[in-house]
This record gives sequence, structure tokens and C-alpha cells, in this order.
Amino acid sequence: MAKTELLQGTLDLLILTVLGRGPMHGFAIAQRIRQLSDDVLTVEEGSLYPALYRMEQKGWIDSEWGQSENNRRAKYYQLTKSGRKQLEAEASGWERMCLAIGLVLKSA
Amino acid sequence: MNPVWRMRAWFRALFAKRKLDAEMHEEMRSHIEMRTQENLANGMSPDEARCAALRRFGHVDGIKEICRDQRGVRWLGDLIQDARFGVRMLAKSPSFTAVAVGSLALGIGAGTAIFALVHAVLLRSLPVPNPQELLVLKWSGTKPQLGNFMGSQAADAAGHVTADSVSYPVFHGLREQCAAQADVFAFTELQELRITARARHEPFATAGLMVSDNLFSGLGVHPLLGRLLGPEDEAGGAEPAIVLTYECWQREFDLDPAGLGQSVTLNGNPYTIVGVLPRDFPGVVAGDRTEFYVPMSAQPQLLSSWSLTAPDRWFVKLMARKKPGVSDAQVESALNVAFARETETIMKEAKVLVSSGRNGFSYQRNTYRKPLLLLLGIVGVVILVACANLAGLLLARGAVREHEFAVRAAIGAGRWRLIRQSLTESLLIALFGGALGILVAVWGKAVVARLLAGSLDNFRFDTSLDLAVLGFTLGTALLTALLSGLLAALRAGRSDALAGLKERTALGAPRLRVGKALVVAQVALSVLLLAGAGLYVRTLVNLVRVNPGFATDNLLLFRVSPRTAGYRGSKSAGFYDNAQQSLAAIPGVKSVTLMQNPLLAGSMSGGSFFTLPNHSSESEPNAYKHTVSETFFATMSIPVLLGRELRASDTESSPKVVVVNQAFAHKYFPETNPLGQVLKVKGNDADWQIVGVCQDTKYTGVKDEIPPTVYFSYRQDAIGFACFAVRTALPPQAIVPSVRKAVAAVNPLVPLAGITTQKAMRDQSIAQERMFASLCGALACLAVLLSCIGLYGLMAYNVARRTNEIGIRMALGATRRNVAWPILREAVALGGVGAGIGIPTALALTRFIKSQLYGVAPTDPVTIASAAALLVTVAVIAAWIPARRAARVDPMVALRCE
Repeated sequence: MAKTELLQGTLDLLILTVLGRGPMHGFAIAQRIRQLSDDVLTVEEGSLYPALYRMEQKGWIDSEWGQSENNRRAKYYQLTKSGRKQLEAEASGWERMCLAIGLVLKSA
Repeated sequence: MNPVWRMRAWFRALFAKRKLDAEMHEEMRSHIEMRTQENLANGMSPDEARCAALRRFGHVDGIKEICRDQRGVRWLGDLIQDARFGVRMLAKSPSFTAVAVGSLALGIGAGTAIFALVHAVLLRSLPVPNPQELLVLKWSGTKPQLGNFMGSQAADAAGHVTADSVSYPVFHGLREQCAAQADVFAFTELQELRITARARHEPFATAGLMVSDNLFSGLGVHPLLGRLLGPEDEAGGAEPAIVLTYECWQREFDLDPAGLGQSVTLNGNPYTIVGVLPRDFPGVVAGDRTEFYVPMSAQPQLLSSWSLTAPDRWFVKLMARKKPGVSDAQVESALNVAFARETETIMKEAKVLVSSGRNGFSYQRNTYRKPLLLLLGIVGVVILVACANLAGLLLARGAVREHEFAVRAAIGAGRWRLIRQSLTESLLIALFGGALGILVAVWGKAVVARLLAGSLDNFRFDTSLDLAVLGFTLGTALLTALLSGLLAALRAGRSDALAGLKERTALGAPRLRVGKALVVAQVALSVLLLAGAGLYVRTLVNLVRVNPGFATDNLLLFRVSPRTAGYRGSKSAGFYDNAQQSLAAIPGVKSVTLMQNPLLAGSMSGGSFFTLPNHSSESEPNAYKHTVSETFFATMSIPVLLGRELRASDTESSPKVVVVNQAFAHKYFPETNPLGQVLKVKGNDADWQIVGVCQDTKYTGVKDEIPPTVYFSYRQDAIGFACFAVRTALPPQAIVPSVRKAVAAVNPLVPLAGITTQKAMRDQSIAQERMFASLCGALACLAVLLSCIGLYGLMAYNVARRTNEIGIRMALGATRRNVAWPILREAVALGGVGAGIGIPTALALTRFIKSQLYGVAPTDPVTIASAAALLVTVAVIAAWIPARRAARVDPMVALRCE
């Protein structure tokens, strides 16, 4: 299956969405994005971290060290209140955009 | 985002950097481990699993760097890094740092000190709400018939008069008619009052203001204690009230609130203290000596001849507060209409002149404006010299550190990053300089104020270094940093990693053109400053050498005002007689005299007060008038050249006589014998006969022309206050206590004021010239020194850079003279070009100080040429050391360096 590069700016939305289900560490987030997109969306896993750090700096997510499922120390991220708001805003923005692009494609 | 959160994040990023980095490392390592585990589980070999995991992850260090940037404090981190590095670099070359920081500290310090005074005198608003609504009202009109006038007025030849005071009825009219546009309020000055407070205090002479009932409400001042004056104090039968300034309350009542309600006497009349003004209230008339305020209802007691109802007594000054929403033009036109109506019978073209009253009413502001702004300009030039000097030093440093910058560029520092690093260093220098400058200013502003006003006691403005002044300092420091650092910074930004890292060749690119231009600029500005300083110094020397026409040493002066103790009219003569006798009896006193105005004190009487019946001339005769006692000429050592002195026998009942000076005799009786001639004093029927001609003396000041002067005897021309002069055998200050006792023995109710010596008075009269000579001289020396350092730096760098070349030339047979001479020649050339620019600049600019010079023309060729010659000489001396160093280059050593 062909791999699609991530659209600029959509990584934030993906991470927020994934974290919407509960706290998760970086590796799990990367895995999850891949699984959920049926392996279509791949991220160079390292590029996840600048996004995570930026969002933490903006106060959308929080982090805490904890134990992973196979007993490894890992940093867990979770949404904050303003992160939830951001998720809603970005998700609805994305839907609007998809709708608009769809309209353009159909009418052309 | 929550700012507290952000601050915490920044704080952590700055101070817990290591911990954050460790956590980041741990997190990424754990990620890669997990991926490796998964790969292993999928059946890869351990090596393969790890490689694949790393590939999947990406460039770890690059990602870490991007993550660090996300912390949002990179600029701050860089700044701190730059600053640390800058401090280290500055500490490495202490002599460079000392010169740079020291010169800026002196320049910025002097600038701050003078700006503090400019701010205090010219800029600071009264501490009241909406000071921009306050207005000062003056007026102009043609040929006004005023009657008696107290205040300042100026008239031109056409009879067009501009003046400040109005009569109380005019004030009242303006206040009533313009009530809709503005609240007009009035005050008048009360001088030479004797105030007695508590029993343990001696009476002291002081000055105050008599104010209209709406003055304090109009200004918007609130009392510190008690209440201020209002309409209730003007009502008939109101208890006489007085409001004290904080200063007066502090001195006389030691800040005791119980002072409120106490009674003080003013010229013998009781007044109850009802309030104290706040400490920061500088008064309606900024810089004056006002210590108390009384209502207008005090006029009959304190200013008896200036009636509030008389239309021909012009003595109150006006200010106003605009009503909100009213424009300046509306206020002005309303005032004009009202003023024209009030004065239609006594003047034409009556007009009210409205100006800003934001910082109150002041006479001194005009006195100090020009000198202060000039000083600020002079200091500005010095700061420019310091900037040019620093720019040159930084450029030379930059050239030496080319290699370092190239290395930084090579390992990835961007252009902007290099510029910033370089600017940070000049910023550090400027900030250190500014901080030290504040210390210089704390000390310097008192020095400048004392030099400016003659003594600190005369300079009654609040010169504290407030935020505005410190803002000026910071602004100057930043500007200096930018001006001096920009060239070097731009050059650093151009650092070429490749070229810079190559072996530096002996004949490297000549980068001295800018450096030379900077040195030329410094020399030119220094010539300008030095020429100005030279003119001021010559002015001072001329003034010190002026013979005032009388002996100024061992002469004690003080003022008394018997009028305040109830002596009226000719009764004061009795007091003066007794006081003179009592003073003459003090051991060590050679002689005693009294005069209406102290000499060389800037005060005078006279004008066109008389006519000459036997003299035909188109213009009205005009002269200064001085009322003195018969011992005046002997005590002051003024020879009487013709006729006789005034005598004790010239009394009220004997024929009226006067003595005139030579200038008077020359002006009005050039051909005839002045003795026996008669003059008529306006408003007096008597003939005043000239009985003597005395030698010319200076009157108002050393700088002023000798005016035609007429001397009257106090026995025939009563004076309500006088200045006593006591000629002593000892230093005059030593007998002050006995003088006080002697006057108190005559009448304890007459206080002594303004105790000083004639010498101090003389010094005071040339205080401003002394200040300009010393300050401008010191600043010019600083500028010359800086130019010297700049030139030396350039030449030394030049020689160091060309050591190889010089070595080769000497190996090929050049003599020491051959190598040293071009260096000296270049210094002379730079000095010459600088002087060539400086001389015309000086010629063009010195005319702005023409009015401050005495006995020397602003374009005085000797002064300006010497300034230029001095600088060229100094330039040669500065280049001498590098030239000698060049001459001593050992060709073998120089070539071996290669």
C-alpha cells in the first residue's frame, strides 16, 4: 500500500485525537496513528516529539513519567482542558475544510 | 495560554536546562528501545532491529535541537550565553574595557546630570491632576496707562507693551466673564516679610504669595495637613489664615502636626496656620523661595499700598485652568474680549497672551533655559566623540578577532547570530557605562546646579533622578550601544568562514578606511569643543580681570527691611542711622555704609525717572539710580573726582543734592561742568543739584556696561529696605554674630537677610561663565583625550598589522626614519583633516554662544586656531609611540613570524 506523507499541520490534530482516548507515551502514539490509519499515514517517529513538546509548551497536553505495559519507564502524555478545546476546534476546522475541498472536487 | 504557566515553563527551561535535556534523552531512548523490542519480536537480528528502530526514528540530535527550540526561550538562552561570553571577553582586555566604559560613564553621566536639571527646570509638570489644562496668562497692548506696576514688562519703540501683572479689578472682570471657559486665578508675590513663629525661634525674613480664593482649587492641589485657602478666607471678618509649605513647616515646626492652629505673625500681624502643602508641591512659581500662602484679604496688612479695588495698581499675576472640553482658542477669545472690555479706556490693541501653565509660572526657567540646553548640546557632542571612539576600538577588536568569528561562522553560527553577539558586547559596555553614569550624575547634578545658580541654595528645583531621567539614561546608553556597535557588528555579520580561516597574510585587506573616518570625526568634534571651551575660558579670564571700580575684598553685605518692622517713609532713616553707628562700633569694622541695592547683584533701580531742565535732547534722559549713605564712597573706595561727596548734613530739610558718575557726566554734560546742574525727579517739585562727580563703577554685574548713575542720599530719598556694607579688617564672615547682635540692639524685630560678602556676590555674578568655562573645559579635555586614544589605537593597530611589511622594507634597506615617518605623517594628516572640518564647524556654531561671551569674538581666530593646533600636536604625540615601535621592528624577527 502506498504511504502518504502527512499534511502540514495535521500532526497536531492526529496527536490530540489519539490522546483524546487517554494518556499515552510517545511510542504508543506513533503506533496508534499508524494502526488507526491502516498503515497509510506514517510519521518519521522522531518528528512526533517536537510536536509533543510544542503542544506541552502551549498547555494543550500534560506529561508525567510512569511505567509502561512491559515495565519500562516512559513519559505519558494526556490532554488538558485547553487541549480538549483545541481538539474540538481543530477537528471541526478539519471537517469544514474536507467538506469544502470535497465540494470543489465535485463541482470541477 | 496562562502567563504564569508560561513564566514557569521559561523559568524551568532556563534554570533546569540540564534536567529537561536528561528527560528528553531518556524519553527518546525509551522510544527507540521499544521499537527495537518490537523489531526483535518480529524476528529481526538484534543489530538489524536496532538499526531499523533508529532509521524509523530519524536524526536524534537534530530532533533534540528542534525540541529544545520548542521551549520558547532560545533567544533568552542565546542572550544569556552572549552576555556571559561578552563579559568574559571584556574581562580579558581590561584596559579596553576601562577606556570604553569610563568614557561612556563620563559622557552619559554628564548627560544625565544635565538632563536631570533640564527635566526639573523645563519639563516637569506640577503634581496636580491634568496639568495640561493649566494656562499662564500675560497680556500685550499699545500705550497702556497703567499707573503703578509691579512685575515684568517689556516695551518696544512703538509703545507696544508685553507684561504679566494686571490690576485686581481686571482679574475680577476676567474671572467673572470667562467663568464658562476657564477658572482664572491670581497671586502676587510678597517679598521681604518678617515672620515670627514660636518663641524659641528668631524672626526670619521670608517670601510668600498672596493668592486668590480659587488658586488652590484651580490648581487642584490637596493639603498634606489641615485645609488650603478658599472663599471663606476672603469673607469679611474671616480669621486671617496662612498656609505653609512643607519646607517651612519642617524647619520651623519640625514636622509637628501641632503646628496647625498655631499663630504666627507676619510683620506684626497675627495669622493662624490652617494647612500645610504636600512635600512634592513645588509652588506656583517654580524655583522661587515661597514659604507661605495668605489670602487676598491680607492685602491691607501686608501690601498696603497695592489696593485690591484700585484700577491703577497692576500687581497680580494670572493663571487659569481650562474647563474640560473647551479649546485653547475658545479660552483665548473669551479672555481677549473680556480683557479688551476691562481695559478699553487705558490701552489699545489689548490682547491676552495664553501659554501653557503645565509647570507653573517661572522667571528662572527663562534664565536657565539657554544655558541648560547649550550644556545638553555640548554633552551630546562629547557623547558622540565617545561613540566614535568606541566604534573605532570595537572595529579594531573585531579585526583582531576575525579568526574567532570565522570559526563561529564555520561551525554554523548564522549572520544574525554573529551580529547579535557583537552588539551584545557593545550593549554590555554601554549598560555598564550607563550604570556608572548614574553614579556620576548623582554627584554631577549637584555640581552643575551649584555652578549654574552660584550656590545650591539658589537652585530651588527638585532634581531627583526620577523615572523620566533614568529613562533618558537608559535611552542614551542604548543609542550609544547601537551607534558605536553597529559598524563592528555588521562587519562581524559579514564574517566569511572560508576567507577568515585561511592563513592571514601580512598584506591583508586594508580595513582602515572606516577607522580613519572615525578618528577624523573625533578630532573635528574635539576641535569644536575645544574652541568653545577656549572662548568660555577667555570670557571668564576677561571677567575676573574686570575692575568693578570699587574694592570688593573684606566687605560683608546683608539686607534689612525696616519697613517690615513698621518703619514708614522717612522714619526708616532713624533706624539706618542707629544701625550704622551700632555696626561701626564693632571691633574690627573699618567703616559701614548702606545702599538701596547691593552692587554686582543683578538688581537696580532707575530708568527715565528724571528730566534735565537745562538739557535739550530728543529722547528722554535715562539713568540708573542708587540711594546710599554719605559713607558710601569712602567705604566702597570710590574716588569722588569733582566736587564733594554726599554729607550727613544733606537732610530732608536742606537743599536736595545728588552725585553722578563719570558716565552720566559724559553722556549729559559732555561740554559743560556738571557741577551745579539741576535735575528734576518726576513726581517731585524740588531741584536736585549735582554736587559731585564720582568714578565709574559697575552696578548690576561685572559683565554689564557701566550705566550713567545718579546717587541720592537716603536722608533725602527714603528707602524702605537697604543693603548694608561693612568693611572689615578681618575676614568678613568672622564678624557675622556681632553684626547680628548690633542690629538686634537697634531693633530686634528687623531680621537680617542675604548675608554674604561682596566677593561672593562678584563670584556669583560670573557664576554662569565660570560654569561654562569649567564644564566645557573639562568636557573638551575628555573629548581630546578620547580622540588621542582613538588615534593611538588606530596607529598601533596599523603598525601591528604591518609588522611584516615593515620588516621586509627594513631588510631591503629602509632606515628607521623611513618607516617611522609615514606613520607620523598619517597622524598629522588625520589631525589636519579633522581640524579642517572642525574649524569651519566651530566658526559656524560658536555664534550661538555669542551672547555668553565677554571681551572675545565668537570667531576669535586665535582661540580657534589654537584649538586646532593643539589637536594636531596631540595627534602627533599619540602617534609617536606606535611610530617608535615601527622604527624598532627587528627585520629578522618580523620575517621569521611569517
